[in-house]
Amino acid sequence: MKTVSSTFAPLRRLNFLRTEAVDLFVRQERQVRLASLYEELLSYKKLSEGWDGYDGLPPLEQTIDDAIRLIDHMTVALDHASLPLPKPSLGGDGELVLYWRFEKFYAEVSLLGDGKFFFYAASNRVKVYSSGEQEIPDSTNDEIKKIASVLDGLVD
Amino acid sequence: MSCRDVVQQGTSRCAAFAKWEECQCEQVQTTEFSPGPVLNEEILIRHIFSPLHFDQETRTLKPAAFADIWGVGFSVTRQAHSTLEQFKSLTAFLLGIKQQKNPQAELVCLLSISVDTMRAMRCSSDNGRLLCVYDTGSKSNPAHADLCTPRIPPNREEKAALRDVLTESFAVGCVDLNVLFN
Repeated sequence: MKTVSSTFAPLRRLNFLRTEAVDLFVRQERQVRLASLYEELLSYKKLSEGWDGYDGLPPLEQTIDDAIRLIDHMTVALDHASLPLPKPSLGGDGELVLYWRFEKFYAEVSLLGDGKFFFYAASNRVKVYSSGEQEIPDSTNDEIKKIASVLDGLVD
Repeated sequence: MSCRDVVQQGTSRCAAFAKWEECQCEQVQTTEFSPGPVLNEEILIRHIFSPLHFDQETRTLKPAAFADIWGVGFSVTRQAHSTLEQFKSLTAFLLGIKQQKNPQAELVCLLSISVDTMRAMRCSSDNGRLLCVYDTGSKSNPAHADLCTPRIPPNREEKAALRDVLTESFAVGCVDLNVLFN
């Protein structure tokens, strides 16, 4: 069995503590960001017609509920790959877009409130992957894992 | 129906313009109030009135802010046909209207972009035009123009591709009015 030298042991202990602390910090920050994302999405439910200063339509309630359900399932896969959470963007036509922008890479999930989502990713404006219309899953299914894997590839 | 009839029709302006192939209505004056078709060398200015359309962290327009390019038209002002004073009063006038609809409306940012850049945007799959620029001046604002995609109705993949291209093209940051009109 490998042993740890007396001089190295305190350092390892320290590193171990540091890793735990960093992990905890990352997890907490993630929770704060997730709560903030949900809070913003839920605030969209209070919008009325003309919210954008033009003739913008508010989103359907189901659009927001679908987005939260989808993010719930995506978070596990995104966490696993240490990927950032998406940012929300609402269109004047009521369509909700959750998006990531990494310089020349772009990816989004769009939702219309019909229980489905559509994922699209591009690099230098050329499509890398699109999911087609997918039902919002009840768990972190293979399509969600595929999306996380595509995003992981874009970030690398 | 002629290109001139489109503007009077109202809400689905982009769909009506899309009936002509390859942005043909760009070549003609579409309203009696317009100073003429929009030239490639012109600069267009977009008012951003909703904080929800603007990413404060990156100081850029969010992707769904472009939904009007397949609907009522993405309103812009032609800098060449407006003075600083006219633009300031237009901004105050528009803000008043926006705040009637939404008291939280505010002028978040002014974005500027060249017509050349807009018209040069091509679809990666078929090299067709992504955006058309129409002169849609009104009596109260002759310098008004609209950006519309000729791809109507766009499918979900086309919408996503458009949002990607447009957010990147508009990621030039907010402009200072005095610098813009200097």
